[in-house]
Amino acid sequence: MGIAVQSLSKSFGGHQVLRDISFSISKGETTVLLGSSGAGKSTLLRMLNLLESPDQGSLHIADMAFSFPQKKSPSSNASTKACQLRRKVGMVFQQYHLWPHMTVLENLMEAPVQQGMSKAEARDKAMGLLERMGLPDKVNAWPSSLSGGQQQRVAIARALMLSPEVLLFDEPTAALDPAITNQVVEIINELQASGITMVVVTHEVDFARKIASRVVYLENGEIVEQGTAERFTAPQTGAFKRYLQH
Amino acid sequence: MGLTTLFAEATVMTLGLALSSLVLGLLMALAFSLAELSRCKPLALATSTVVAILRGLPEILVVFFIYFGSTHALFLLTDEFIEISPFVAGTIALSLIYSAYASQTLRGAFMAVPKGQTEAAVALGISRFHCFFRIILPQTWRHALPGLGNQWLVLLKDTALVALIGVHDLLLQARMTAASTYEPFTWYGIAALIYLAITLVSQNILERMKSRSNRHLTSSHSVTEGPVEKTVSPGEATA
Repeated sequence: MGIAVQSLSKSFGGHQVLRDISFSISKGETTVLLGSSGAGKSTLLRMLNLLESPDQGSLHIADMAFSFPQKKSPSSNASTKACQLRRKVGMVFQQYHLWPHMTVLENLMEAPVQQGMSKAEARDKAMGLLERMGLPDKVNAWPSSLSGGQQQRVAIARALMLSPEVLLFDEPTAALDPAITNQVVEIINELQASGITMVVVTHEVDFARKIASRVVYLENGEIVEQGTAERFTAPQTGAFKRYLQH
Repeated sequence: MGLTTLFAEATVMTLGLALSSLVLGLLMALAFSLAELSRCKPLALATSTVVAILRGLPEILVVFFIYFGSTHALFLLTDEFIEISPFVAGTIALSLIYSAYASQTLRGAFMAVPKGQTEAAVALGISRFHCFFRIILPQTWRHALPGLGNQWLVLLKDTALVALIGVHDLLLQARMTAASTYEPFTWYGIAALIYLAITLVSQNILERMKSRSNRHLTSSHSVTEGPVEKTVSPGEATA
């Protein structure tokens, strides 16, 4: 089992952003969370990494189970478990969030070295990943000297350093132009071939079509439609059909 | 003892006082700024009050209060007359003053580091502790350095205040020599030149530290780069 989500809900203040969300994703699939802005898809993605904690529901991901609201266990226990989860579930942010004061190599090595990987091993792994991302000559560059597309690929490599079972992408193409978007498509398709489970948040239908094996369409914090990639050609609901025609 | 030796010793005293106040003051400023940013409201409020008081008092009053006041306070508490050396009292007073101002610089600098930086670390399973020292603090440093450097120059000159509680610093030495030789212009002038020399050296060192802390913003490493596809996102450019 890859990811299973059972009736998750979340409110900020009085505003309910997610209502009774349930879906499951098998291992190795690429699922797209599609919807217009404000639909709650980013919040949902952040919950898969426990950057947001749901008010209610349960979450099974990467062989770990969480149910909410969390019992009043010692909070250090809960945060240790969250920390373990995050080492198996990588995340790539819309704004990349590379650490600007570290070189590309240092960005990649920071997390694995802190978690006990030897420096030599981390360096070799980083070199291999940068090669794979087509950036072998940027090892010692500062993030600020890279273009947006290059920063995005460094951010993907950084997430892959921990060999995650699941990789989450938050609007990976929102800040990129169409030509660079195709590079991201290629990388995601290559990662899918290597068997990693991915969840991608986007509002771009064309991008979604190119990468998805499953799609979950959200509107106002609720799942309107979900299914295999065939739903792109044969939508079952009027709402999803309208969204695809935008 | 020659006057050169006396002035050299007084200069060392001034520098020692300033540097020890700087180290102690920076540590206190870090503690103050974190306490003010803490989610624990009573702690944040208490710290803000202390900082407001320190910033609201004349420096000389803080110096007198620590030197004379602490001896009195210890007498009231222990019924014994414990004397605190002027150097220690001076260091405490100056570091308190420095930390009150520096904590505000640091607080602003902490807030200038984007939230996404911490989030990226948390998402990679990096511990909060490690994240603070490796990710946040180095970036805070870059934002805070110009302000902290400015306050260091102020601190350097505030050391002259502790001549009034009897620390044998540069100003006290100049005053004594001026009085005994009846050549105030010469000796105060020499003291002034020494203060100026220390300031100029400090400024030079600060400039180097600033350019080092900004080195990741230069594009010298991108000479081999091909055509740039997209400019740096605003979040990264200001980070």
